[in-house]
Amino acid sequence: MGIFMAETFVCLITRPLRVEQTVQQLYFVGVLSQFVVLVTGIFTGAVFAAQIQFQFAKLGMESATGSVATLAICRELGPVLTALMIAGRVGSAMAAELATMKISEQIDALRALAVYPVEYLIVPRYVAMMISLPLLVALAITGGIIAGYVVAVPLLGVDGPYYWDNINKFVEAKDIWIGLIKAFFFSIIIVTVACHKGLSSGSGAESVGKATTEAAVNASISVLIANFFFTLILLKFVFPT
Amino acid sequence: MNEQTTIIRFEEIKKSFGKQSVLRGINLGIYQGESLVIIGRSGCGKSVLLKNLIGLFKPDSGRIFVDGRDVVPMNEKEMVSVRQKIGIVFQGGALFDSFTVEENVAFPLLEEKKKNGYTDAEIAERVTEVLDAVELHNQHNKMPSELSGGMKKRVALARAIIRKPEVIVYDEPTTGLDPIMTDSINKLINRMREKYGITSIVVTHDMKTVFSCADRVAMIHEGKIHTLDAPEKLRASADTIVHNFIEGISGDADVEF
Repeated sequence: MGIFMAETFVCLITRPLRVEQTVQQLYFVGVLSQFVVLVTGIFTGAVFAAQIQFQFAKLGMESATGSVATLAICRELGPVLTALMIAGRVGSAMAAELATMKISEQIDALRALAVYPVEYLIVPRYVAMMISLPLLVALAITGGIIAGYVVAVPLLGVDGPYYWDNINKFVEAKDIWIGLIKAFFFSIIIVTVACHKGLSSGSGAESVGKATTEAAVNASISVLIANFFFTLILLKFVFPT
Repeated sequence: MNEQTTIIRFEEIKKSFGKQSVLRGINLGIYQGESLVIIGRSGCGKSVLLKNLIGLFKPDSGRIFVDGRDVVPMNEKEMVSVRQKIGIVFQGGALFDSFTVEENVAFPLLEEKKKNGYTDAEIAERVTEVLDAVELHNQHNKMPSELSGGMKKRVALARAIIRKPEVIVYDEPTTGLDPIMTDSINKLINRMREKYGITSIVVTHDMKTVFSCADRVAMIHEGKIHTLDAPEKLRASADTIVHNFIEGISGDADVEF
């Protein structure tokens, strides 16, 4: 998988980008994922704000709900849940498509027609993922923060101005950056696992199914594990308090 | 036809997959302009040999000369010039299923557009020309999933000839087709040769193709070229392996499961 990644990045730098393929992938990965990601962000933000409000109300700290929920959404829930949704929606589709192309000799046909498959198929998917996922995470975070506010303030009766004031006080730009930086690296993890699984699929319908499932599962697990280390590195070294 | 010019030469090609040794030293020369048919049992390595030729696989050892240049040590970039000389028609057609017939056929030229400065009108004209050559009229906007097996192979052939290659490689062109379609594909293979003077290499186990298309027939058996001869001589061959293959006779060993 390391060799595969190296080959892709060398190709990304040394060869011209296939604009048409990249735009198609941007549409599939980015535009068509907006709804799923927005729903994920909204309902996660809503339920998280509600849970925190229930607990903090016991301590008389309802107005801190906003800052805690927002921090969690920016740093952890937004990037991780968005990445998991994208691993399921996009990662599996990419693996299935590439595996099908492989078993029907379409990838051999590309090579036989003197087209480098990494340049034609893989690099556009990498670029589309690296651009889309941070933007989708930003969308999820925005949805989550607004939903958290709607649940905490109008529904559960937290004081609105205090809610915002606490967010302003305790949430900084770096918290958004943490989410977006994570998103960028998650995108590389997902697209690498998905493309590698697709291209290394065996022959036969069963192998396509296997490649698809493994792409989604392995990408999701890798995201969860990597998230822990990213949190440590980012909070300890990149943005130390 | 000048049979003295060898355009492709395989020398001692060996290839194994895991413990299974598929090709065990293939030596074969292909003359310019001829039609060579390669036969052999399923899994004997016919397709593997072709894929070695265009660099989709690399042989474990041996050399392959195309126009006097050894292609085995070439990287993907160096292979481009070789692949432009050799068109391949894959077994299942290998059409890009997200493209229409027209886009599939135009694909090789669109890829070269920048280099060769084709205009869209020139490309459209060439597409119509090659689709007419394979007798597919007014099918430009169909998707591959809407085509029959025979039509897919025709589109694949059109895609292979649009760049005017010197050699066309057919990987089991008639497998899975009805007898009438088989005959029409065989005729098409001959016509391509007559019309464009293309060298053909056909891999098949269809005897009809052998006898209607071949100038020479190479039979692969146990990873080596067992026989290389004209089709009429093959038919008269007293060799048991050749005779059994041509007549479709299974030996005792073949029916023990």
